[in-house]
Amino acid sequence: MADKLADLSPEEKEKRIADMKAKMQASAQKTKAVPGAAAPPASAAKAEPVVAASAATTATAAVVVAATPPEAKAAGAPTSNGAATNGAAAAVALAPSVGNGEPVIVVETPEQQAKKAMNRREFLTYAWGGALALLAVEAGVGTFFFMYPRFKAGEFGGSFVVGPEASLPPTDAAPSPFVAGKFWLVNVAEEGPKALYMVCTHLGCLYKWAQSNNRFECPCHGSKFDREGYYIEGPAPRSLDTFLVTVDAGMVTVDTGKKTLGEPAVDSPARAVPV
Amino acid sequence: MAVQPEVEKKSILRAVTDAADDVFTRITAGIPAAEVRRMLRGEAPGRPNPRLKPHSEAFLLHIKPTYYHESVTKFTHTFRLGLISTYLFFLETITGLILMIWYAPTPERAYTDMIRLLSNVPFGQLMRDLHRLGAELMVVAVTLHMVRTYLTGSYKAPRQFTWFTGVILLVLTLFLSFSGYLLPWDQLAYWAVTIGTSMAEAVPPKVVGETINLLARGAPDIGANGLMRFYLLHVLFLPLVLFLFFFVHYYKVVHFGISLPSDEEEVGQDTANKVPADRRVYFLPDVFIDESALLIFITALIVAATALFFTAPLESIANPQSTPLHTVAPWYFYWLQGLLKIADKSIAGVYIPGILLVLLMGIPYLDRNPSRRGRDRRVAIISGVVAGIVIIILSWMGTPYYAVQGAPAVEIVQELMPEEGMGPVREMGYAHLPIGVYDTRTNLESGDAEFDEVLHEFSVAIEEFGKTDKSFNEPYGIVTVSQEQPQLKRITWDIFWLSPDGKEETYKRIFFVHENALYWEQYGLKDFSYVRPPQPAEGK
Repeated sequence: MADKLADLSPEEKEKRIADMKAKMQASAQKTKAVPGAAAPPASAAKAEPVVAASAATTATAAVVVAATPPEAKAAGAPTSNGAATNGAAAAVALAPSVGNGEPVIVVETPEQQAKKAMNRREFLTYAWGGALALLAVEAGVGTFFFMYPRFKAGEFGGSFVVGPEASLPPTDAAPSPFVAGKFWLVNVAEEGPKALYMVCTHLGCLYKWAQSNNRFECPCHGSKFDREGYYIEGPAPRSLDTFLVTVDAGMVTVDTGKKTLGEPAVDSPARAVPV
Repeated sequence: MAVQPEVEKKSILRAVTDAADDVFTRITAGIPAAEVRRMLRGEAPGRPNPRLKPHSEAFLLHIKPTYYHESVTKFTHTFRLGLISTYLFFLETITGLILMIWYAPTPERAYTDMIRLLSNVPFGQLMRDLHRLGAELMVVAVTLHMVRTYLTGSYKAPRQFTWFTGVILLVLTLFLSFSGYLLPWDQLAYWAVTIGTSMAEAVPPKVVGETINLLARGAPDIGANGLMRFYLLHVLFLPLVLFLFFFVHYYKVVHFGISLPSDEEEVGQDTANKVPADRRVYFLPDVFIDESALLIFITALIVAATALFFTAPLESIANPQSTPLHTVAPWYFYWLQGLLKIADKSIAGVYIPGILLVLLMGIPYLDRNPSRRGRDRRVAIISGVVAGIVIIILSWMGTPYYAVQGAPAVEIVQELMPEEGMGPVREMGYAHLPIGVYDTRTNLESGDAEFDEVLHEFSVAIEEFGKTDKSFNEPYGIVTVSQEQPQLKRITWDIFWLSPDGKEETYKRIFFVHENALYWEQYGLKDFSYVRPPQPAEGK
């Protein structure tokens, strides 16, 4: 049986193939008859099943195809050393004496497979996989914190210190602009200071303060808001957005990172009633 | 896949698990879940054997060999240096991409971006140090890989072209490291790269060299244009070219197979790709798990080393008007700097490295000896060792301690408190600088043990130079430490000596040390003692 299939003449080739077929069918029947039996070392090389079946019975590339659960556990231990002994050790451990050396191919059923308990190699691989997954998560979290923008005091998105409470303008004065923070500071009677976001709630233009009309007017589409930011008229959907104003130990601070959306225009107390 | 008949044939649970298994098999390019389990358990493959399918059906594994010869999987055969080099390139790409988020390559911003990264961005210092350490390790890894390949004679026929592409990869790695060196825009970066591009200027003929220099710098001197060009080189062009050559290199490696240990083959034989069935180690799962374990281990080592030990240096901001004392090239170019000290700019900077490079590339074509065995290659091995020793000696000559000594007074102070970098005094820290005036002629007792050591070093150095240098006669030194501001100390170094004709000369340098300045020792255990636990408020 030392010749390769390709080297044989056509008749010999056919004969050989017929031989192997018969052998395979016989062993398949044998295994069907005894489903729980351990498989003897089958000789097969990996990617060439046809040629492999003709290899010598004690081929070093012994491949054990299937094992019932008890043998599986025994196989697990010896194979946990040496990557090179790809199944060879398992074959050694299993060697039950069905010594006719015929190639037997046994396929285990999914139920048989699922019942196999975890062996040490499998467990350790899962443990390493879990550790690697944890590392990936940590790296992801670290990268997220790395990437997240850093808001500086004095930069839009951070906090602005306006000044001491005493320096606030009177409650009837015009609003004062803070360009860097993008807000108008207006002192409302009985409410305290209010910080209005400079961006119109309609489509993002910067509205202006119209002193003559004592209100804010947006040049883009004509939205109008009163001194305290409430919607008067125009296409804007809501009153002006405000930033959180805190008075801490007498100092007024505006946090441009904390924005509150204005109330809907329909609820605005300053809403112009159509004539 | 018709659902209803499937569900009717088996239970709905089976139908769902089968569908899931089907999806799983598609994702893994042919390996169902049961087979994965068999691989993890170390069992034989099921029939038919699907473990080779990912290599032929999937893209990611198509260049990887399906099996290796048992003998080449031994760790000490290759030390997996090729794999490690590739992995370090991958690491550099990832950390580099992350760093790009906070860095812009203009002189107005570059240095402050570095400071911001190091002090104001979470994990910023870790990422920067990882990137720096990874770069240095990659240079080491590719060099060791080259040395291993040379010593095992794996460059011989038919693998000559593989070696050739490998040398190109080495040059690309060095250029990548060098172009990245400029980006922090500190004194170290600026002047090292000025030297490098001036060497490019020395390429003959004159017009070619000057053009190369101008193209690299974008201007007569390194400035905004130069920084942008180096950034584009570092981030786009060189990685792409390296990627291309890497795939050519690796394709060739797989095509010929990794060469066997020389005593397993006949001389002149190359059976690397004809592996008998019983000596095969398959990639899935054995070599894959092996490689993954190695890379996991290396990653852990690198991250731990960076977090605990390694700090990449950052000197003061680049000052085109002033070159600091003891300016050095990056360590892997020390040999070049050494050469520059002993020979003309053209010879040392261009001709010799050029000839060395051509020789290196030509080794496989010049070496006609078909044997890879050590005993048959004595000449090759000995000349390789000699070349290595020469490079080491040249590298030592490239350090500032060889032949670039300034005046004695300058050297004495530079040793203790260098213009750039740390030095013993800053290492000690603010706490160990007692206020006072200390004269080397009188007894040097300051009350602080560490500062006393520094004073002792100071007076010993003065004595030594006084003995050896004829123009430095009867020298003595005075160190004055004063409190300049509540958290700022001023250190004045004065050295007085007599010139050969009896005139009194002086040298004075003033430094400031702030209480909150943190000069961590670059390669020592990081000092976290500045982190004090929160003190309970005591009605201050």
